[in-house]
Amino acid sequence: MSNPLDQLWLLHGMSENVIQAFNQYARRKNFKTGEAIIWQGDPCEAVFFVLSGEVEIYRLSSGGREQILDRTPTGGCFNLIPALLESGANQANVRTLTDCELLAIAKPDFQKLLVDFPKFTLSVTRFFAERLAHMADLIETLSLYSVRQKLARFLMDQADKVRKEKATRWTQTDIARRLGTVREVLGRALRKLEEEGIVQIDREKILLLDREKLERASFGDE
Amino acid sequence: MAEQTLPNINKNICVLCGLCVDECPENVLALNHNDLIFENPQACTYCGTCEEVCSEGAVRLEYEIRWA
Repeated sequence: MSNPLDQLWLLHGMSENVIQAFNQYARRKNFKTGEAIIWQGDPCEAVFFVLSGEVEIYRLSSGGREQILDRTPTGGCFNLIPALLESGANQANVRTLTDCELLAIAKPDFQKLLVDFPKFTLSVTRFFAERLAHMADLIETLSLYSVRQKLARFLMDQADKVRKEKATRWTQTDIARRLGTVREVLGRALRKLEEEGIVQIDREKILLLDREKLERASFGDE
Repeated sequence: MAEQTLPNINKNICVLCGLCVDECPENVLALNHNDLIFENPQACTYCGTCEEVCSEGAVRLEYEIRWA
């Protein structure tokens, strides 16, 4: 029988000792779709691992606008950063996109894992490196490109992900929040791509028809 | 006839404000006995107005994005 911990990315290649310690500290928590898991600014109490389902990580402006930072599917983890920060406050809000089963490891126990198991610490360090690269890409995208360019890049990136892993589904509101714009503006940009024959919007599907034109749009063809 | 895709309504979040009912251009939705229902599902054009007006994020028209 397979161990559910096998699908957790941070535990890939870890020894039995690490798995046992992880099991000892981890507590299962279940959430329904659309539930809040943690709130930005609250004291960090635990690090979370996604056994099943998908969560969304986002920040809120004082005016209530949302910026989606990332989505974490089955196998991933979140809230590692505040577990290591002096301030120790959650850095973002996290909610479920689907029904989720999570494993929570209390902050002191997570720090103990890092001290006791150097190979696990290396895995966590690699995770942070990937997060940093992702955030640098997000900053570049949000600050340097038009909505059309951002949308073209986003659509290609998501469609390419379908080939490698389970696709995540997006509403137009989600996409707007991810790209740092509002739904109306996003909708206009999407309709323009459709009018140009670059994408086709059906129920439940946005089909990308022309990679060359999308790439030109991503570099600024206006 | 194949069942057509309708907006996804999360009833744990929906507060039954009725705004989506009022704004739907095709009168697809209705409030019935403290429940939000699809009264005319066949008329739904998946326009997204219900998702747009919902202040609670309870209505979702989800898309899979992929290469044709």
